[in-house]
Amino acid sequence: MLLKKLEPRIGLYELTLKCNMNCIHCGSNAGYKRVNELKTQEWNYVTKQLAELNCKEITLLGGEPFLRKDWYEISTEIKDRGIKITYMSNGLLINENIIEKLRKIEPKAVSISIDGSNKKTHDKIRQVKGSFNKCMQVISDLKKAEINTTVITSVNKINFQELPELKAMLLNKGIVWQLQIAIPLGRFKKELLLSKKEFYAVAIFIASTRKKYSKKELPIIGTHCFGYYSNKIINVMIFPWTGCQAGVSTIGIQSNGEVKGCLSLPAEFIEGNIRDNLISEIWQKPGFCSYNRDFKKYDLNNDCINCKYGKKCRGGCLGVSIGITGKTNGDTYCLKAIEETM
Amino acid sequence: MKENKIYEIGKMLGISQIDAKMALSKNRNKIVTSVVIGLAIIIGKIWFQPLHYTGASIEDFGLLMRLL
Repeated sequence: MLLKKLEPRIGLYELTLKCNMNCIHCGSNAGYKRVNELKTQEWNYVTKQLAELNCKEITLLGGEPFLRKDWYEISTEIKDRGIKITYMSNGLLINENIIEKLRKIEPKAVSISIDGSNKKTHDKIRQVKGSFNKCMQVISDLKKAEINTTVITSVNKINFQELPELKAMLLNKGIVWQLQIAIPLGRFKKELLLSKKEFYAVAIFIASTRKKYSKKELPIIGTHCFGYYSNKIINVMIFPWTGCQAGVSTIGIQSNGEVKGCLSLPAEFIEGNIRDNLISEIWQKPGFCSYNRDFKKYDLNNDCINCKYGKKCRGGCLGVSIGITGKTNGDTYCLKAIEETM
Repeated sequence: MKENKIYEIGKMLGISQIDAKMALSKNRNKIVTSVVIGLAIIIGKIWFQPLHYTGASIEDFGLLMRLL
């Protein structure tokens, strides 16, 4: 890893667990808000502390972040402290008023989830009738307002075949397209998980699309789940993979103040609460995110045992590894491992 | 994995052999890669940490990033 210094450069804020959708693949099992969620001043104090720890980027997500009435105040505090902001939203609530405020915030990206190339699939996955049309309109409105817009698609067995059609829809729209696989955490049922072959097909799809189209035509990216160290295809993540960043450069804060290295990790990875300790105390506590900070090669599991990249890779995405195999440090949805077995 | 297998898998998503070929990585000189990474560090464009699920931005698609 080139960046050795442990700093929470990326903060993930689960502003609320409350959600106005009921997606079948929701890894957070969002719906109702948590008991005793953080108040505006508490979030702003978190931001102040993270700014002092050299945080560069904060993502506001949920649940649905725009359900919080104070999202703009929290965002303003982040912006005023010189930290970049990204949003992850289902898009349903975004209207003219919110777009006007977003223009003032100048976010690095506003990401809207689109999980199908048509209303039948998207609405089925998101379980809200009419949401496809509404979200497509929101994406168009965001673009018109010159806000950096991203579409996120969580790929699963239901929408896998629709990727080419989705690509055609997003081409030449100035929208970034981010693909990730839906993993069996929260509500997502394992039988809808892509097979390894399908997973590899998506990686080829991203790689060939990236090569075929320019940044202006269709900037496409696979998230951290599309790794690692393939010997055959280009890096679909763009960024070099240097291992899970939970507790290395990333910190996740749940809406009730509980802290994890990454929000995609299950509850047993909670390692403190911002109401009990300063973030610096939690971050610097010996043993914090030891699965990454104190990682040893013998911690590897599954196909990762004996992999020559094991030490650097640490077994891929911890969340995916746990979600699919129940074990840490052994993400079996690995391009290199698949190449070696097929 | 053989290249033919990659073309076969690509077909699952309607990817032609020509397009699938574009996905293949080339054995680029490691010195060239190091220079690209070095330049990227110098101009402070990237942090060298993988993009999280946080939502990619057009800002992440700089020319140097595409070369990595």
